[in-house]
Order: sequence, then C-alpha cells, then structure tokens
Amino acid sequence: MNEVKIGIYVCHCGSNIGGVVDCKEVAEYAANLPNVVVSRDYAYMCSDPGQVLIKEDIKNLGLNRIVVASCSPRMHEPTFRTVVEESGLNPYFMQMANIREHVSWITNDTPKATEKAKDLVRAATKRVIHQEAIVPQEIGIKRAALVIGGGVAGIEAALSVAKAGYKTYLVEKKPTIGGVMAQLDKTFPTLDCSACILTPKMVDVAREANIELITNAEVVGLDGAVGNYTVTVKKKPRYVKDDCSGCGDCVSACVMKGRIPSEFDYGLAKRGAIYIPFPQAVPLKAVVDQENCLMFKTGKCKQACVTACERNCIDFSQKEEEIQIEVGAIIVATGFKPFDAKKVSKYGYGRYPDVIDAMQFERMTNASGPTGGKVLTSKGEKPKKVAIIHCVGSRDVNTNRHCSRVCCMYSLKHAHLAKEKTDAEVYNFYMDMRAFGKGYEEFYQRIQGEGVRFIRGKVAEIVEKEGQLKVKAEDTLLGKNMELGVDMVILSIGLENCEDADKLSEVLHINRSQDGFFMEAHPKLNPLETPTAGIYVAGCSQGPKDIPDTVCQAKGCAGETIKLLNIGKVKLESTIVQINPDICKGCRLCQKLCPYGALEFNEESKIMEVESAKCKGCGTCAAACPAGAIKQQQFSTDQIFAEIEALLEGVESI
Amino acid sequence: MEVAAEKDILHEIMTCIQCGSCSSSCPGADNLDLTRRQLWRMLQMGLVEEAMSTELFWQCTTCSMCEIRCPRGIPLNKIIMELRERYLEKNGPYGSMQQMTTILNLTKSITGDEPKNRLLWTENIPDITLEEREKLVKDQAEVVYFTGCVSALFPQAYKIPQSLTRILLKGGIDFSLLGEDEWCCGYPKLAAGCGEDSIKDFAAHNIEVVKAKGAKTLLVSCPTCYHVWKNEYSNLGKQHQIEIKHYTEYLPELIKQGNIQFKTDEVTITYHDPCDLGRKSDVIEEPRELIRLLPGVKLVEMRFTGKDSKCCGGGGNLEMTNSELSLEIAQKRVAEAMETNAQYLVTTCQQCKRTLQNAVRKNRARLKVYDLLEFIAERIDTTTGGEAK
Ligand SMILES: Cc1cc2nc3c(=O)[nH]c(=O)nc-3n(C[C@H](O)[C@H](O)[C@H](O)COP(=O)(O)OP(=O)(O)OC[C@H]3O[C@@H](n4cnc5c(N)ncnc54)[C@H](O)[C@@H]3O)c2cc1C
Ligand code: SF4
Ligand code: SF4
Ligand code: SF4
Ligand code: SF4
Ligand code: SF4
Repeated sequence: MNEVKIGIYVCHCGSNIGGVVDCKEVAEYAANLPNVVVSRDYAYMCSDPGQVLIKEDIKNLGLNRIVVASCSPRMHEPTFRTVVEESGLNPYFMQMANIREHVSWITNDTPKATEKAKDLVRAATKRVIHQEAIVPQEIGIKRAALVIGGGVAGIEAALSVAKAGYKTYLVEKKPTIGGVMAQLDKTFPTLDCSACILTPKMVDVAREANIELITNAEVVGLDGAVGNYTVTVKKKPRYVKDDCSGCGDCVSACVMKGRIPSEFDYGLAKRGAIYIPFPQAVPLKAVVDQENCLMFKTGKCKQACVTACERNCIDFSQKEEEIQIEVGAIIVATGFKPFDAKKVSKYGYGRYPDVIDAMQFERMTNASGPTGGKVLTSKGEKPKKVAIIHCVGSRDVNTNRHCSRVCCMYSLKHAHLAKEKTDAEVYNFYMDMRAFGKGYEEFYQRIQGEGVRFIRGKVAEIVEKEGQLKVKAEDTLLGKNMELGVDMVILSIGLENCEDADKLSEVLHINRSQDGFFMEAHPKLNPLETPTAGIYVAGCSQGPKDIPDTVCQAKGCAGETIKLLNIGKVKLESTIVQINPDICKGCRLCQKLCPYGALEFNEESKIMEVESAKCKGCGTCAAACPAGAIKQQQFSTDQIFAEIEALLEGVESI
Repeated sequence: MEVAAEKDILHEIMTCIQCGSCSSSCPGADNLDLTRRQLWRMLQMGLVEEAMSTELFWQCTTCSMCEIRCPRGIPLNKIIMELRERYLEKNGPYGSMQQMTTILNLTKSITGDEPKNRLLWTENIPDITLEEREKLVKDQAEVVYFTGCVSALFPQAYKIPQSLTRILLKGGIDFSLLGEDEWCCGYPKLAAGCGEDSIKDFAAHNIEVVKAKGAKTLLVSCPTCYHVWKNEYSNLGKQHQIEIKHYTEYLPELIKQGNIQFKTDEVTITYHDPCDLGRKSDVIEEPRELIRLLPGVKLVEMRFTGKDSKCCGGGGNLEMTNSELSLEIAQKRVAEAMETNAQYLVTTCQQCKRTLQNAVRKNRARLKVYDLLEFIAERIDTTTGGEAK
C-alpha cells in the first residue's frame, strides 16, 4: 500500500457545531495525529467552497484518505463520497465523524464537547487507515411495477408507469377501481363533476396494454429487495367468469335484490347478492357477495342469477388463489377510511335518521345516486335548515388528533350544494377554517357570499326535540351558548388510515406515523419513498389530502419508479458480507440468524453462500460466526478494532 | 402578560383552542354571565385575578362533561378545583361552605351528627332479626361496607343502606359496618376548595379502621366515596391493599349464585349513571349487568347514557352554592328520563336520587326514583321470603 495520507475537515455547520465545539482546536489537535497531512476547519464543509477545499487538497497534497467531522452521515455521506470519487479516489476512503448529533446538539459544555469531538475525530482517523476500496456490485432488476390500491392515486400512478412502457400490476381490494373519488359528486373548489373527470381515467386503465388489473385481491406476501421484489397476491373469487359483459341481467334477477345495504351508496340504497358496484365500474363485471349470497349462506337458492345469465358466466366453483408477481418497485396507494361517526355518540349518528355523514351527502347530491341528486330528509322533504359540523373525528384527543385537511373544503362544497338544491338556510359549525390550497380561500369567500352562516364553535351535542334536531354549541364569536333547530345535520367526517394498514405495514415492512398513516422516509426531502427502498407511498395512504395533492404525489411516485426501472440496475449495499470458503465450517448458525433469508447452504461444497441481492448488511451473521468466516464490508474486524482502540486512548487520558 | 409556570395545573389551559364545546356541554352554564370558554380565556391570558373574581368556578357540579368532550383533553375539573383552592386561600370559604367545613372538621360528618347516630338507620331494617342486627358491626370481617354520610345520616336515604344490608345478609356474606368509627370520606372539603392535604387525616383514619377489621374488600354504595377511596386516597400516597368495590361491581356474582328469589312481573326502568361512577370511574357496564340479572326488568336507555350521561345537578356542592341551578339541571335530566316512558328512574347514588326526586316532584312527573339497591330489595320476592326454592 502507498503511504497513507489523511486529510481532516472539521465543519462548523454555521453555529450548529461551531457554537458549542471549538472546531479550530479540534482541527489543530487532529493535525498532530499519525498520517495526517492536513487538518482544517471550515464554516460549511458541504457547501461548494467546502467541497472544493477537499478536492484541491487531494490534488495538491496527494491525500488518499479523508475524514469529515460534521453532521450525521444520513444526509451528507453521499455528498462527501462523491467529492472523493470525483477526485479519483475510491469513495469508501472517506469516513465521517458525527460531531453534531452526537456532540454539539446534546450539550452546551464547550470544553467537554471539544474533548469528545477530538475523541471521535481520532477514532475516525485511525479507522480510515484500514478502510478498503469497495466497488459496489450492481444487479439487474425486474422492469415492472406494482401499484397497490386503485383509487385516484393508484390509477394515476399506474397509468404513468405503464405509459412510460413498463408492465404495471394494479392490485385493488374491492371489485372495482375508483376509490372514494368515484363516490363523490362535485369536487371543490371548482365544483367540477368528480365522475366526469375520473371515469375516463378508469377506462384508460382497462384499455392500457401495459396494465394488468387484479381486482378483488390483496397483497399478502413480499420477498426480496429494491429492484427484485416477489409479491404474493391473494385473489378472492368473483364467482363470475371473465366473459361477463356487465349486462346486469343477473343483478336484476337475484332473489336478494334490494336487501343488502350498498357500500358504494354508503348504505343509502340497497343491492342484491350479485351486483355491479356502479355503472362505470372497472372492470364492468358482476360480482357475488359471498357473505350474503344464499348459495353460500344456506347452500340453497333457486339460482335466479344463473338462469338469467345468457353467457353462463356464474360459477360458484371458483376458488381463492394465490399468485406471485415479480416487480422492481412498489407504489402503495391504499387511500383512507372515512371516520365512523357512530364513535361520537353525542351527535346521534345512527340514532337520528337525519343526522347523516358527508359520504352519504355526497351520494345524496349525486345525480346518479340513490335519490337522483335530491337532498331530502328521512321524511322525503327538502330540509329548511341544515347544519354542517366540521372536524368530526379529527382534531380531537378522543378520536384522531390530526386535521383531516379536506373536510373544511368539502364542507363548503356541501354548504353550497345544500343551498343550491334546497334553498335551505345553511349553518357551518367550525373550529378553525382551513383553506390552504390554490383557490380555496376564494372559494370560502364565495360560499360566504352565497349566504351560508358560519358559526365558530365546536358542537357539543345533538338531540331530537319537537320534531327537530337541536344543535348545541357556543357561538364563540358572540360568547353565547346557542341551540339551533335544523332538519338535517351533515357530519364532516375525518380521514383515517386505510382499513388494514396494520396488516399491510407488516407485509411490506413499512412503518406508520403516529396518526396511523404510512410513513415517508423523510417528511421534507424524501416524502415519496418509504424507509424501505423501492417502496413508495402516494395519496391518502400517506396522510389526508385533497385530489390535487393526491395526484401530484401519485405522479411523483410514478416518476421515482420510472427512474428506477429506467436505470435498470441497482447497486447492492456497500455493507454486504462475504464468506471466506476456506474458513467456513458449514455450521449453519448464521443461516438461522439472517433476518432476510440471504444465506443459502451449498449442499455440495458444505459451505454457506451469500445471496448478495438479498443481504441488507445488518451484520448479524458476521458477529455470530464462530469461525470468523464472515467479513462485512466497511465493518471489518481491523476497522472496528482500530476505531475502538482509538476511542479507548481517550478513556485513559481522562 | 404572564404565562402560568409549566408545573402549575393552570398551565394546562394553554392548549385550549377556544372551541366552546365545554361551554355548551356544561349542564349549568347556559345562563351564566360568561361562558366556560371565556373563563379559560382569561386564564390563558394570565388574567387569573379577573378569572377568580367571576366566581364562576363555584357554579359547577364537577360532572366532568366538559372535560371528556374537550378536544384537547384538558383536565378542566382539576382547574376548577385549583381555582376554588386559590379562592379559599384568598377570600376564605365561599358562601355556606364555611359552616360545612367547620362541622366536618369537628364531627367528621357532613350533618354534624354524633358518631353514634351513624347506626340509627339500622334500627328498623325490614325482615332482619334482632340477632342479625346486633352483628352488623363486627371485630373482623372479609368485607366492610362503608355507608357514607348521606346514606347513614339522612333518614330519606336510609332505605339504601338498609337494602344493601338485606341483600348481603340474604346472600350470606360475612360483612361488617364501621359504625361509630366511620368518618366522612372528605370529598365535601375537596369540593369546597380546601385542597388535598385537608383530607389527609380523614384518609388515614378511614384506612386504619377498615384495616383493623382485616377486610380485603371495601364495599361502597356512594359513587363519590368510591371515587375518593379509589382515586384521591391513593393520590395522597396513602397506600392500602384494600379492594374498593361499588356494590354494582360486587352484587352480580352474588345474585348469579341464585340464593335470592325475585319477582317476575314486567317493569320498565331507565338508568341514570352518576357522574362519579360512570364518567369518572368507568363503572358503566356493571350496573347494567346487575339490572339484566333481575327477571322481568326491561332497561331502556336515555338519549345520553354511560360516559355521555348528563349530570343530575347534585354534585360539587352546587346545591349549597346555587340550589336553583342544581334543580334546573335535575329537571332537564328528568325530562330526558320521561322521554323513555319508563316507570322507574333508577340510579346508583343517594345524591343523584335525592336531586332527581326533587325534580320529579317539581315537574309533577309520573316517575319513581330509586337507588338500584332499593329497587333490587323491592324486587325480592317476599312471598317466598326471598329464599330460592
Ligand atoms: C366526503 C368527502 C368529500 C371529498 N371531496 C373532495 C373534493 O371535493 N375535492 C378533493 O380534492 N378531494 C375531496 N376529498 C378527498 C378525496 O376523496 C381524496 O383526496 C382521494 O379520494 C384520495 O385518493 P386515494 O387514491 O389516495 O384514496 P382512495 O380514494 O381511498 O382509494 C384507495 C383505494 O385503495 C383500495 N385499497 C385499500 N386498501 C387496499 C389493500 N390493502 N389492497 C388493495 N387495495 C386497497 C381501496 O379499495 C380504494 O379503491 C373528499 C373526501 C371525502 C371523505
Ligand atoms: S345464488 Fe341466489 S342469492 Fe346468490 S346471487 Fe344468485 S340469485 Fe342471488
Ligand atoms: S380540514 Fe377543517 S374540518 Fe377537517 S379536520 Fe381540519 S379543521 Fe377540521
Ligand atoms: S449481513 Fe448477514 S445476517 Fe445480515 S442480511 Fe446480510 S447475510 Fe443476512
Ligand atoms: S364539570 Fe360539569 S358542571 Fe363543571 S364546568 Fe364542567 S360541565 Fe360544567
Ligand atoms: S372544550 Fe377544551 S379546547 Fe374547547 S374551549 Fe373548552 S377547554 Fe378549550
């Protein structure tokens, strides 16, 4: 090996480090460590001039090892590796010492902080001597993607990826795609018709050759890593063959017709045991509801559906099946679950028929909905007074603490629609009005101008008295308690994480934030990816959001996916392990410990082998191997001991 | 402007979003000069003196309705108590509370009765023998029944402890009363703003006399005593290994044993959850289970039940400070009960029973107000002597 020449760079990070640690002193100290040729401190090492400083030194002084004492490697390790690489060195000849998160951010004691910073720099300096050149392996990937969830997020993401030329699987749990947007009437703030803008996209999905749509299905297993995922999908039987033309003859024939609350109409209408979710459903095929079909419940039915179907599509012998698909990237777009207003008993949802929730109102105002678009009370009359209650199931320690973001705006929309369709007096009870999006504040003003009354107060309770619903609240702007009699109450329910978020997070190894939604890798700088590489999250499954934001995120995720698939290969972790076949005794201990199933025993040679693509570099096996046959790149015994010994020198000096 | 120091309980109000849900949830606040929220706003702005001068925190039954509905989970009850304590420190006892606290300190009872009067109610318990009566206060017993001041000292309430005594005897339970040794649990002093420390000796005494009997279980019929024993005494650092049970948590097992025979004719009742038992102690299912064990009894719920149950108006010493308001609250609750068309309004607290009964009289409502104990005792089939065949 050539003579080792180390350059040390101590960063002030403005006052983040420099305000506590005496960086100059650290740099001066480090200058005297063995093999150190140059040692500097500088305001911002990550800035352009900072980077140039390192590059110039490498060129002029012939440095071959670099130590940067600055922030956590999470953000800037790639930055400095690139700097080193651009100067013609192997990027792994750079080592960082974290003197911000581990030093300056945890104390105000300058002398002690400076001492600790010196210790960490010394340890990094001793370690870097033993660092080795690594050329990360690259492997090919499956140039296909999986999108989970067929709401507007999933639809947009799938279309983008597919149109870029990649095979895309779209797995939807329900019998049709469309999600919540398919159920909405108008959309704020422009009040354009939801179905009119969504259904063409749904049809596109059905037509797109690169999309394989798998409805009535769920993801139940995941194996592999970024670039090479193997996904297990469970397909529930539809009991209707693909030949189904969607004519609906079976639907009208079913003996259970009109007896089961329709989920699409949010219980406001009834369907049969075989049904087509809605006229624009994709795929437009009937489906048997196993829970309610008499053939499954009692084993006996005259099977009117079978008789009615001219194409002989109904097939009760269909079985559940599991299929495996291979993809390079996954986009999670499983959306949200509207809050169940029954949980807030004080509002009487489920007790008073004229207390309805916002989803029901959407169906009611929808021209293709159960009332043909008429807003009617349970008595079939137009309401004269309507109250809209914001924040039901949001912003409340008793339900969900988060703000659901869209309900203020859809409450304005509902106020407008109620007024337009019934000429009723409309009262919106709100806590704070959140009109953050483009055109939203203007929309608020418009609705105020239409004569809707806004009362700043959280409704305490609703009771039925004298044939009216009495809404109790304090008008906080007047400082008076009030009781308002109305004919209809619409509860603006919040958005909660999708139904089986817990199951899905387990299957996909992705996390959830405190509010229950899926968590992004970094809230600001990596909002589309999850902490698991190659798995992205779009739409309301990541958090409540409106359609514009949902679509942006979906397209963003599609962009990331296309980028990955386009490159066509992924670099393996630089910290993967290697097994020395001369030392391995074939005891198989490591195999049991590997959490990723990356170790494969070669029965012929009786030696353990690593499947590099699966190894995540966790180091468990390397630590456990009794023979010391496993070497983990970047964490070799030499490197670790050099680091520890250097730290212990510090202990002696105390 | 001063912001309350962080350890100060008043600091909790800083997260109030001024939504007013508390104002319109409060059973007694519709006609006050300021809404609850406005009181909190003063505290938020550091105007503690101004808040104190409103005296609004005395117009509160401590029912906790505001608190469970507060979207920010602010401990409003504690804040009210803190204001009462501060008031007391500055101005001395509020209204008639001076007299009450003096009496309590002297006689350890809310009425000023002598200790021996605590057993007067045992003198004419229907269908128990003299021998049984003489053994109601024992040296040692598995179970001790803590009667509570109201039940023991107000003749209108006698039927409640008498009923429990009858049921326990019929069920063959080894139990004892504390008799002359029982002191008030101390709650009226807390509600008067005397502070936790002021009931330390009450706690110590009561725990000691119960322990002296070697009892494992302490049975109470008053939800307030229950709340104080269960929550306040342990907050005071008074550790005891005694299991505290409201009778509704204890009796279902006993009745399931089938030793007591009940009437079977059909009656409809509605159940009022006492604030201290339901909302504050989460004993909601138990009383209902007990009711379901009674043959022929149909339970219809009011609009607001369980945790949502409305206050009877009788808590927090409100009767003492504003009896009109207290009655008004009770009348609203009775109106709610009337909507169910039940024949009986049953509760599990002697104080709720009293306030509700007053309101029934005032409303001229056709509704019988009972404590569940009285109701159970009345349902015992006397034709068989209540003994199972
Ligand atoms: C009452 C109401 C009114 C609204 N009005 C408007 C408006 O006017 N304008 C506006 O911009 N926004 C509005 N929104 C918000 C809008 O509905 C959302 O922004 C949008 O639906 C989010 O789309 P998504 O695809 O993320 O989720 P979703 O629409 O919830 O779609 C998710 C899809 O994933 C599927 N899925 C769930 N779990 C799984 C699983 N495990 N496996 C496979 N598939 C799964 C679901 O079945 C569903 O099809 C409103 C919301 C509500 C509640
Ligand atoms: S078998 Fe009977 S119940 Fe089932 S879908 Fe056909 S007609 Fe309906
Ligand atoms: S968007 Fe408005 S209605 Fe919805 S939770 Fe937030 S504040 Fe409440
Ligand atoms: S380092 Fe070892 S244990 Fe960890 S993933 Fe790789 S092979 Fe498995
Ligand atoms: S505890 Fe009850 S009476 Fe007191 S302020 Fe709160 S709601 Fe009103
Ligand atoms: S309910 Fe809570 S947040 Fe709302 S005004 Fe009252 S104290 Fe404040």
